[in-house]
Amino acid sequence: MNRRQFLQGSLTLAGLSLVGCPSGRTPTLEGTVVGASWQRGHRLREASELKTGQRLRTDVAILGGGVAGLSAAWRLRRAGLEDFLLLELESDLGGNSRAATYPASRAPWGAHYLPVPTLESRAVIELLKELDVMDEAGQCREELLCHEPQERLYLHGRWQEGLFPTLGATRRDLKEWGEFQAEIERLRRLRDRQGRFAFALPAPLSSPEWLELDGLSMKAFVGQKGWTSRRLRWWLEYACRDDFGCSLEQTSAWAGLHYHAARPPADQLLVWPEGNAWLTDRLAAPLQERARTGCLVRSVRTDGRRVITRVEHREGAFEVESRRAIFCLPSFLRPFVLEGDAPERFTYAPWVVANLVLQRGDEAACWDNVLYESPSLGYVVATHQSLATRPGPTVWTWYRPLTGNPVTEREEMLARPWESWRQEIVSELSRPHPDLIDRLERLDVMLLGHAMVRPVPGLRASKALEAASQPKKGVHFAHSDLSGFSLFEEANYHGARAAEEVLAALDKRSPSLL
Amino acid sequence: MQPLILVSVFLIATCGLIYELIAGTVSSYLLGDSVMQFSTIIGVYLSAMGVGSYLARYIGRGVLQRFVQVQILVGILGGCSASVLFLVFAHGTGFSLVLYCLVFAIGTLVGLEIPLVMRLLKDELEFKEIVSQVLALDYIGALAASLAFPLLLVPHLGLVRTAFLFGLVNVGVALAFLMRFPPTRQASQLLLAQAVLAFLLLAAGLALSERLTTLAEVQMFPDQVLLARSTPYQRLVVTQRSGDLRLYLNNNLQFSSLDEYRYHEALVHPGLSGLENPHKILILGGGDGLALREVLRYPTVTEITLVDLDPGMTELFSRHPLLSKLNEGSLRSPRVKVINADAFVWLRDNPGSYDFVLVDFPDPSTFALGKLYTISFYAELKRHLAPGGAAAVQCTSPLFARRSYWCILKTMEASGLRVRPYHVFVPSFGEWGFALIGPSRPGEHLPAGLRFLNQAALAALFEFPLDMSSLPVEVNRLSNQALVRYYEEEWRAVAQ
Ligand SMILES: Cc1cc2nc3c(=O)[nH]c(=O)nc-3n(C[C@H](O)[C@H](O)[C@H](O)COP(=O)(O)OP(=O)(O)OC[C@H]3O[C@@H](n4cnc5c(N)ncnc54)[C@H](O)[C@@H]3O)c2cc1C
Repeated sequence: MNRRQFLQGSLTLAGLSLVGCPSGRTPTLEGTVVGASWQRGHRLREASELKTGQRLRTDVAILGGGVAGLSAAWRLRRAGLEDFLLLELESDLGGNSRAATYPASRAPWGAHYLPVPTLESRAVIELLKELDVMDEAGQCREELLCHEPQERLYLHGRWQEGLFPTLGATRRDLKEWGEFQAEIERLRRLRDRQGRFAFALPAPLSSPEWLELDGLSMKAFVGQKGWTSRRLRWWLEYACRDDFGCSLEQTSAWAGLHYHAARPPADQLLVWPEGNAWLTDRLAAPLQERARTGCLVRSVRTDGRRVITRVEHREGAFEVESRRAIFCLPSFLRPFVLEGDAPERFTYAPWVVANLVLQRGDEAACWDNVLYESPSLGYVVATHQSLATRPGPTVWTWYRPLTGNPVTEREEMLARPWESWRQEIVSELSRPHPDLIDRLERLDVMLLGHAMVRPVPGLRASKALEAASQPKKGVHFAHSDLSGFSLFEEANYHGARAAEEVLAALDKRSPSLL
Repeated sequence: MQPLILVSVFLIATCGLIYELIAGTVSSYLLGDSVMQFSTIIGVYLSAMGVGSYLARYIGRGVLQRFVQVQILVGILGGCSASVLFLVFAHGTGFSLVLYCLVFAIGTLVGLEIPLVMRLLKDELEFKEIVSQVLALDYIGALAASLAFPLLLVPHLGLVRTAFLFGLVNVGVALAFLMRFPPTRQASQLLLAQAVLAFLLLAAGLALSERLTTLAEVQMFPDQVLLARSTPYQRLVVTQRSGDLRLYLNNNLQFSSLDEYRYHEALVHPGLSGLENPHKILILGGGDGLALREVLRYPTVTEITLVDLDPGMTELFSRHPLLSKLNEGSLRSPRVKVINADAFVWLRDNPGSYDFVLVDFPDPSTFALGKLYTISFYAELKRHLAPGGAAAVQCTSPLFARRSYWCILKTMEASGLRVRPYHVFVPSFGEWGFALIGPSRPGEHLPAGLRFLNQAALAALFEFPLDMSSLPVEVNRLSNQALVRYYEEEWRAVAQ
């Protein structure tokens, strides 16, 4: 603002106050609710017979084009198996790792980062090397590692660096936080006799020896330790909400500790403006006509030799006959799609994601910007990795998991109009950014009814996950759900694992990437 | 009647001289060359007073009312003079025209005052009394003004507030006259309204002068503010005191004209003079054109690209008479192409290699600026060096910010550049550090006309005493911004 504008501004203000008209500017903010295709998805629950026209034949049908499905296709191609067909409901591939495109920047609709992989995530490492994100020595490209400053927290009316609320913390808060970190350091090193970590990433590679922790909720674990610090509890719950969409009570202690103990102490993150869509776009690019979008998988029948998948498409229904199928749809769909299959009931957290298109970002913004004790998780900045020294137009992606009863939360969420979301989001973010409404050009909201599987206490220890991962009569299973929590590494692991099972069954041997 | 009039004579004489001094001071601060400015302003002012005195004969009846009107007008014109002059200078052209018109107008009005006063007194005193008392008070007032102006007013109030204050004095005299000798009712009400309005205007000016940014800067900087301007990128302030021109960006000193040659010669010549036939040069930052001035000393240089973020900065330094005198019009040289862009982004998006690259960014005081000192940036820089090319980089102070300095050097090395540290003493800055990439024999072909560097001074640049020698530090990356943290710690310690 130069002096002339300043003077004009103050003159206008003075003028307004003279006329006695408050500057009640009605913002012409645009936006929509862009929910995933849940209306079409819900049709799976109506039992109606579908007339089928054409029948396509392929070696392998891949059902679902999220990270798991795309990773399965990637794994098959690496082994030279090119005869497959991937079927996806939405018009874009990527599932929960898709992105929006705005003139200012692309921005995630879901997954927004990938930590630099641990040594156990071998398939992820291979993928990152193939995509030239990582070099042979395991170094990731500097410009893709999240730039500093990475995270900040808004509390007591100001921002502090880092997410643990240290501003105004008591000695007790800090002591308990220190104890928690020491505990994590201990857990991080635990291995069984076979050398398996207590907490490995991907989770299926973890040792089963410490599974009694899964019987406990994270809340109970914290209680047992005698930690009462409100700040520590908030911070721990923030982590559970962020990774699982769960409260402390809904999260098993095993999963809650896994978030911290499966990764090195100061892990670095790979981030892109479009989030993990950067990865899924690259996984999807070589598939071309072998990936079909707009395809609702209605049912899967199998007799052990052939798998028949029935598909509904805008231009008519069709069938796919394959030797094998890899089922990469969320697991809650299994009873509706797969004849005679009813795995352990998975529960899911609904999520709301909003993209806020801004004329101008915030000079001091970090990549991740969190508000203490707020129902949302805050926002990430799409243009954070920009090399420019001045803030330009940007997109903020705001996240809120709904941690109440999933059924009622889901219903209420789907019923709420855009105005109501706008109201909630703008008023929350206006606390730290009073001028937000002047910079905000557009606000789009994505409603995800079954966004994330919940790692509730007992899910892992009951062996339900292992059982659900077993192939059934030519149908193999791959979805991040099968790890009990959804992460890129887990989805990629299951996709590659199921693809390797298929390769073995079809006698296409290739050294394992797991 | 008499005492009031005589006190007024004293006051208005003070005001008159104050306005003259203000005009002279503002113009010599802004335009430089104070002897010339002062004498032309005095000349115009005195001749205008003559015109005013002459015009007094055309005032027939209603001397009192005319006197009050003159007071109000002088008060407004004189009171606003300093701020008007600063605003005109900072914002537009035609400063000299406005200056002389203003001086002439004030002079004419002041010239009217004494003849009118004398006529007001003519019924009360003898003529010789009038002349001696009025002129004596007039001269005493002038003496008071000439003493108070440099000793009290400029140091404590600054030019802008002084002007408003004396404007209020003039209007105050008008008001006092109106109270004491009310003319006919109607006329008096009108005059009273005018005087009150003028009083309010000036009082508001006085009160606001602290709040309006420019006017506040007059107080904030040790020297007189020559110009202050906000661009979308930064706040530019140029100050001047007796031939010392200083540029501040966001209140940080960028150079002082008294010793900037040390800095810019040290930045440019060790590297550039080590090259055989440099043709293509890239300058990143340096929108003041001072490093460019040094580069233009090399006749083999045919093509210089200067990339600076802020068009406001490059325009100012190519057009403003004093500033372009300082950089010898370098920004207007046909050999130079000025590009206004964010340097890192521009470097990434533009191919091309250069014989010599100069990197002269502001210090890494924010995370945004810290990006320009990362291993990724230097990798980009390396990509733009022609085979056998050289580069020089400003690297903050190795004395005040020792870890920061060595962090920058280590980062450059980590990006695969071979660097040599060097430093120079710049009185207004202190010890300042640079990094040299490239030429095997720095200083081989030093150009003529330098003020600081000769072979002996050049050799000394590369000597590091113990208190500036290397320390173990981290490499600065986009993903750790180690440098910004060092820098903040070190300068905070200096500030304490
Ligand atoms: C808001 C949010 C933020 C997240 N952030 C991160 C993050 O930052 N980092 C991270 O690692 N993970 C994150 N995740 C987890 C993310 O879900 C996983 O990383 C990964 O994208 C899961 O992939 P998937 O293939 O297992 O599942 P999905 O993405 O659920 O893929 C399933 C696919 O099946 C399709 N489908 C469903 N029904 C049918 C049908 N009937 N017929 C055909 N196709 C169908 C869907 O459209 C979808 O494409 C986030 C998740 C959410 C919801």
